[in-house]
Amino acid sequence: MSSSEERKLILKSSDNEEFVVKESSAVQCLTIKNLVEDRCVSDPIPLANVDSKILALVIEFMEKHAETTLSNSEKKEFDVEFVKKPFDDLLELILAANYLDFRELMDVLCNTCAKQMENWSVEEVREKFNIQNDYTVEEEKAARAENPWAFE
Amino acid sequence: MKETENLELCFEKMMVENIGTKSGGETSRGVIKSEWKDIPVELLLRILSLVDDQTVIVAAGVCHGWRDAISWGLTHLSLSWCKKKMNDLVLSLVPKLPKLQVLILRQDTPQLQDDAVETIASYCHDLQELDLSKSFRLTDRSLYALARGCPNLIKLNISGCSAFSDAALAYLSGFCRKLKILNLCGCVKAASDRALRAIGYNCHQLQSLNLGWCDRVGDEGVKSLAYDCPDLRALDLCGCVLITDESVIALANHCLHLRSLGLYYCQSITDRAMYSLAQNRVKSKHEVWESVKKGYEEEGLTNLNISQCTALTPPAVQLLCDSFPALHTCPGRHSLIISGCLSLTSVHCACSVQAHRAASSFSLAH
Repeated sequence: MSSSEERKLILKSSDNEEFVVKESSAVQCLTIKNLVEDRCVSDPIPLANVDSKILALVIEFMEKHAETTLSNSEKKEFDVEFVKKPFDDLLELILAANYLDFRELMDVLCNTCAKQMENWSVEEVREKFNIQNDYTVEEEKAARAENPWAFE
Repeated sequence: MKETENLELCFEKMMVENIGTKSGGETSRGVIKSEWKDIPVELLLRILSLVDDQTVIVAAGVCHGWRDAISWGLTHLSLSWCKKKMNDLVLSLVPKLPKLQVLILRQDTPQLQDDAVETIASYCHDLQELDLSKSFRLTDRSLYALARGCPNLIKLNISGCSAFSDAALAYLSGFCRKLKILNLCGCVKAASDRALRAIGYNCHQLQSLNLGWCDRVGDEGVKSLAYDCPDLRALDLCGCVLITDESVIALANHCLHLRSLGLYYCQSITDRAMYSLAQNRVKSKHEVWESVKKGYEEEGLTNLNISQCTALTPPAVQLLCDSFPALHTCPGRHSLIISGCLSLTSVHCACSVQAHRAASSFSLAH
């Protein structure tokens, strides 16, 4: 009977790329953990909502955080570098972390976005997140009237 | 044990709704891109739970999707950072936030007017906690509006709202019957015995009441509370100069969960009050045994402020201190406050006595 450290899983992205990961790392994703515990595991595990680029990044994070030899501050240093990505990628990672129920990754990503957003104006949010303004002229005027800086 | 063929179905059920199909463009890999404007509501709210209130307001102004998500999901908001024109912001923002449960509008300078509170009462029927402290420009209109619109209030702070009358407060209590925490500090006009009788009659779940500096409060009012609100845990009567021993005796007899009592400046309080509290401690210990069996901890009084209660004498206060082990005079955990009572300097909690003994035996040895 092999120890769980040696057990490997194959994860398949939505664009059919396959990734081999240690089961012990992969179970940080509760979605995968539940499959393993319920013995629903097929080879490979299809992840229809995550493409290969994002899955590779998730696996990078997953394996780093599963390493018992790393200290917490080393993991934090990794996180700081990891989140230096375009906002589009961060969104894809958030959606993947949600789908996989990967709490640690979700927390790091949400904290990053939250910290960045503070002190932005409405225009900056739209620009950095690439959001089209779909407000009418009146709605836009009303939103401007709620600009917090006018009340501080 | 699920079949491999059904695994795809497993994942289909677990899939987050494919948001890319609505409007995303295709990337070079042929995958549909997700867009920030379409981020699932719960994920947007999760990020916004980590930012300050100003940023939440900015987010609500970004696009329809985000505004709707915030409307649907925002439950907590504080506007206390507004130094000016808070009233305008409330009028504009609150109609979009019908799911608010907690709204903090504490001000340094009074900015709120009745129309803002009326707006809150029209839209936020789920409101459980509201802080309007220092809004002394509010009139009874606000209380009547809250009564009609916010029946689910559990925690209400109207300290410093000196223009409210007792009739309006009594009226409010008839509708907001779930109130557990009520702060009326400085509401001199509103906190009369009449209002307290109504509060006692209507709000049986009341746990904490602050009547600081409400100098019209008398024994009749406090006794009504004691009889009708058995769950009372904290009562602040600081500056309620009309209170006599009758009030404290009623509280001792009826409010067995009382943990915190403020009697600062209640100069009519005598040793009788202290003895009644101590006596009822013994009586309630039988109740304590039962509740300990149920796993509920009952320490009795943990905080008592009897500063300026100059009629009290050391034996009575010492007995009280001995009866309630959570009352401390030692510097680290000072919870029995007796400033201004020069005759009570000899009163000490058990730990100060031990420390004192340790210190004096040390000095004896030398």
